[in-house]
Amino acid sequence: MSEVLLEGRAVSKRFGGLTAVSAVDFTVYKGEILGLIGPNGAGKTTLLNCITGFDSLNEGEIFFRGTRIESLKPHVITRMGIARTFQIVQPFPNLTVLDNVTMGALFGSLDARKEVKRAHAVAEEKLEMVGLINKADSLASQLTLAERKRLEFAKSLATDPEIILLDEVNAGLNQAEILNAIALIRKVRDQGVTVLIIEHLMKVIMDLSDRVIVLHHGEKIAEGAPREVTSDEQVIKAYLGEKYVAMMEKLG
Amino acid sequence: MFKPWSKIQWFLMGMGVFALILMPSFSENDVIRKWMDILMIAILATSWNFIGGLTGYPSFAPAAFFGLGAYITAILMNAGFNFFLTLAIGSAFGGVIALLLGIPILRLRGHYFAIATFGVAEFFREMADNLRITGGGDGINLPQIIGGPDYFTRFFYFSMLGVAVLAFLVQYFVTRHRLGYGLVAIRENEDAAAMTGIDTTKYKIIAFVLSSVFPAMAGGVYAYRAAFLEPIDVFDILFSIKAIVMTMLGGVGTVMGPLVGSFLMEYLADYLWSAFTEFHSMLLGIIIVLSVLFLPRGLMHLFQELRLKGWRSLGAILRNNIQRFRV
Repeated sequence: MSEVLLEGRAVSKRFGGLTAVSAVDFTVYKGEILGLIGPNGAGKTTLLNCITGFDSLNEGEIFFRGTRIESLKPHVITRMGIARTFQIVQPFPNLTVLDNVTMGALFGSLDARKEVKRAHAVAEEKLEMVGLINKADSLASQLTLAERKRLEFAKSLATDPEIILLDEVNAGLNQAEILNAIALIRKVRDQGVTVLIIEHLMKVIMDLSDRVIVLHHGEKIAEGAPREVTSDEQVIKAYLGEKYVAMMEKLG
Repeated sequence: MFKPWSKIQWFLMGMGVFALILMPSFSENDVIRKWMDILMIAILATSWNFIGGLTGYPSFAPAAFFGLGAYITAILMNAGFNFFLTLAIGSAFGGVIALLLGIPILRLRGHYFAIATFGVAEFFREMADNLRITGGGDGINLPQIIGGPDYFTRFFYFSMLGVAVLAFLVQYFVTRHRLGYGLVAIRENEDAAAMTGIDTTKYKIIAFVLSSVFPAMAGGVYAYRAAFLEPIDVFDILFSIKAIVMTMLGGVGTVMGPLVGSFLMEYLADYLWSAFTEFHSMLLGIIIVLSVLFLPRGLMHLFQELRLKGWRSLGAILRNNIQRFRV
């Protein structure tokens, strides 16, 4: 495999007595699409929060291109080249779509000494890419959910990331919108951005991912190519329950 | 969001300032004094706009820094300092205090932040009430300005005008650059702002410092003019409330809003006082309530909307605004 971009070693995060993420090791290689799956409450979003500096770790280390980042603040991590989208979209509601994306271009990268005008140009380019350019002057609060997800995407891309962490960008979208989103994610990867995607829809994961990591109760229970992982007994147990597996075994 | 002004807009603004410069040449002293008050409120409102309007942190601190600047001018002038030098020292000191205070209290959000800033003003008042250097509850005298009423009315008027123009220009340039965008992003969604790479802590502190230096300067001018200060007089929470009300009525988060609001409300209050002496406060109160209901984001936002949608949509906009209050 190619060069390591993002690496976690024994990452643990507890909330009081609850261990949300438990000694998880992970590696993201440059240029891949890595799927992160697991049942509800498995700790996927918490892991993203740890990577992006929103939650502090209890134990473990996170490296981005060899630099330790687990104690850095979110805005510093963003400027280093890690962008994310939120599961529940987080637009700037009373600003136009263009201004929303402009924020990412103005502040997102280390050479962010850009003026507003140039940031607008970058923002327009990203809006073109996600197909929202015709909504550039609408307020973010006037967009549909699918459009808001795309806005979130464009805003992250405007920060000029090396890796983008996508937290359920397809939740709540219809079939056609999902196909669009898949095509878009591929396009982003083809432009050289590494992708880590949290997703519930298996079709999306199977289609997109080069590799998959499965979390369950905060622990990593499987890792590998999509086909291998989905036929792993532990994974099936985690998703469908022990009883189901036992029943299937009985039936042969 | 904030488009750079066109040449026409700058020309109109320049004409406005020019008119304010010429005005004292053919006006009575009481008119000049009236405008001095308007400018003072406009300075407080513009300053509040940095933290309250652009960044979305409702501050009651203007009175604190106004009083702080007033006392610094009083103390330093008694020690023989030049008046303008005291203004510079007062605003610099106000800025440093805002920086030190901002670090702890800007961690609070919403109502908690508002209460903390309220506490700051009260704390300063108590200090002034009890320290020897401020003259305690007895107050403090300043050196009298030399010259007749015609001279000193104009002197203070132009001092206030200078501070107001400075505050306006700083606000204009902040809103047209990265800093202004960052502040608005924090107002709109602080977590998302951090995620787009904005150092939210730093930006909030900058906004708080900017919102504190100009009230400190205005306080200095006020002190020299009043020639005598009492804690209850300059640490009056009414200064903070006026700053907020004027900005809200004029247009939150716009550069013209605080100016328009200060001018209209001061003249309206004056007119109501002369026309309906017995119940002018009640009328003013009713007008404020109605404008908050129908124009929750202020006059400038109404103008912007009208320019986009046309004058015919006035009724629809007002109806739309008031419907927000239906639960």
